[in-house]
Amino acid sequence: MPLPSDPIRLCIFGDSHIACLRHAVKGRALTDPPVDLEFWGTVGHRFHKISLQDGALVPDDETTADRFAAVNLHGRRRLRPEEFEAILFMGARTRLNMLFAEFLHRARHPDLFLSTGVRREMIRAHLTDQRPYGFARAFAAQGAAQILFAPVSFPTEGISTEYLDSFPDAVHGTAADRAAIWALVREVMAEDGITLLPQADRSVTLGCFTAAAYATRHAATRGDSTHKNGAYGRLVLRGLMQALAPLRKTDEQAA
Amino acid sequence: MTPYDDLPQSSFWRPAVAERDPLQIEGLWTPKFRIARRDRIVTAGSCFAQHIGRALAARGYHWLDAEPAPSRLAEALRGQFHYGTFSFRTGNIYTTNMLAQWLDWAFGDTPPPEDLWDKDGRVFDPFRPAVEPGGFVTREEALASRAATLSAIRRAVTQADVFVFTLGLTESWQHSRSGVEYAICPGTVAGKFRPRYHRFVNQGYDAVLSRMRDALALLRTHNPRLRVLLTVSPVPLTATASGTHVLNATSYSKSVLRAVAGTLAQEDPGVDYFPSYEIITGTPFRGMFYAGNLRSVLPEGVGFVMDSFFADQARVFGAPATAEPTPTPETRAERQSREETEQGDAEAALHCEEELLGAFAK
Repeated sequence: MPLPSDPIRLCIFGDSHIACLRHAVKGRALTDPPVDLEFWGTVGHRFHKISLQDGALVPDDETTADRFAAVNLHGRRRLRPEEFEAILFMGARTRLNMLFAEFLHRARHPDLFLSTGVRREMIRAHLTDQRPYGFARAFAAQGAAQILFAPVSFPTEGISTEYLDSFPDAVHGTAADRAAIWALVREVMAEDGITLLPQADRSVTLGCFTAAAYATRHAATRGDSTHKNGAYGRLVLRGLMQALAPLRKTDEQAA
Repeated sequence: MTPYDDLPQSSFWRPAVAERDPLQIEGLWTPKFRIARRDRIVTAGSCFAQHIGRALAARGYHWLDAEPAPSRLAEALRGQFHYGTFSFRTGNIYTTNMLAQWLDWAFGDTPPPEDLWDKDGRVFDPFRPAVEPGGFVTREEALASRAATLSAIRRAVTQADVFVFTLGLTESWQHSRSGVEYAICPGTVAGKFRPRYHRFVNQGYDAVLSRMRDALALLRTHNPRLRVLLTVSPVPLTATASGTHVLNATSYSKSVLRAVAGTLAQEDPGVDYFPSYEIITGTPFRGMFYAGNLRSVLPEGVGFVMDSFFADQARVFGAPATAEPTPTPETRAERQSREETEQGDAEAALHCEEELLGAFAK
């Protein structure tokens, strides 16, 4: 635990979804709590070229290592959890979108009722199937750093219709419905020692879409429903700072 | 001349049974009606019924799953939550009274009682306590889940062509005043056994027959063309509360059930009896189809039963049309891979590159 005057060493690890956080922190000092921030990430399709070795995340080839190093201030070529107090997995190829869509849709149809137990097991199985989530779990098991996880945000409204064929009534999902699902995700992640950073509900619209205000630039013309802008990054950052606050020692503890 | 003179070999024990390899015994069933691959078949009842549903589905028959598992529930977990075990998530329906009770609740004016059992802060449905491992989180959830199952029963019955029911037990536990029957004895899995409110009932022939007739009437009210195939579970009782030895209690229970099935098959042209019970328990088979606990039926036994089922159908009605190759359902892993691929197509990959470049350009 850092002293009050020491910044928390934080790494934001992830795929292209780290971009919105980069936009959010540009030209801004993170002081509450004070944070010494590094990014370590690359595009998602390169995630199959990293693996866990001796507790660290290591690129499998030089090209991939170069890509990761390119976004890191220190040119870091591997990620060791013991070098940080906290690591945020941002996006990291981990989408809960379809689960949300199915649960929200089913919540509108009594005949399609799913119990908490079933939904919980679906979430658990889905996360377990995600390789990057396995990395987070392995890091958390080491106990060296607090591991936080912000799954990929919901697709931007008006661009993607990916759920609507299978789960048309997901669009009627309410904040309470979403909160109940996030609570299950939080529980499952907590069992793995991971802290969930859910998508801020103010950014959500139409059940499980992200409001257009948070879309990346020219999202509609590019047909990019996935990436988000700095405003979205600031919402994530707000949740992140709140989650990190307990990591900082109080003056009394330091004394 | 005697009436026995012109009977076929199958009427005589020595040539039909004693002088045959047990696995060569055949023609045990002369089905009343054809079951075609296109027929929608519902299965319910005691645990043996689940094997019938699986075997039918595996052979390309249209086993009707009226309460399917969500596609994203891991295959390994579906059975634990009783998805895909029977055509709806009632869990085992051991008695004819319980079947009639479920049908009454699904189609009648009487709603099911809101009785629920508590254990360790979780809630169990007394009429299907096994369907939710660990129990439901709240009473509301347990009742909502039961309502979904009742809806599935309605769908199954109204859409089915054939209803396969496996009779399992005569012994039951009921509420003393209401007569409502529980799936198992209160207090064994959850809830609390209260002698004042809970009574043991070993249902006799008349009661079992009467309730099966009630069930048949309800089924036909909502699906007049429905054909019914009865079987009797060959699985012995785990325990008896009758006060007699469990072996004797098993014999009594199965004899009553077998007699009821026989009576209905004789009197009702829309009801048939398939002798899976005889195939597993019959003396010629020397218990070979039982596992070491002398209760569980081995897969070989299930296979032999179902081979007999299809062979007898073919003997009487001819071989079924070649099954159209049914597309193998996409597995969860395959779907995930597909979704990943769709999300990771070239255009999306380009967007990702652009996002990172835009954010981290020096």
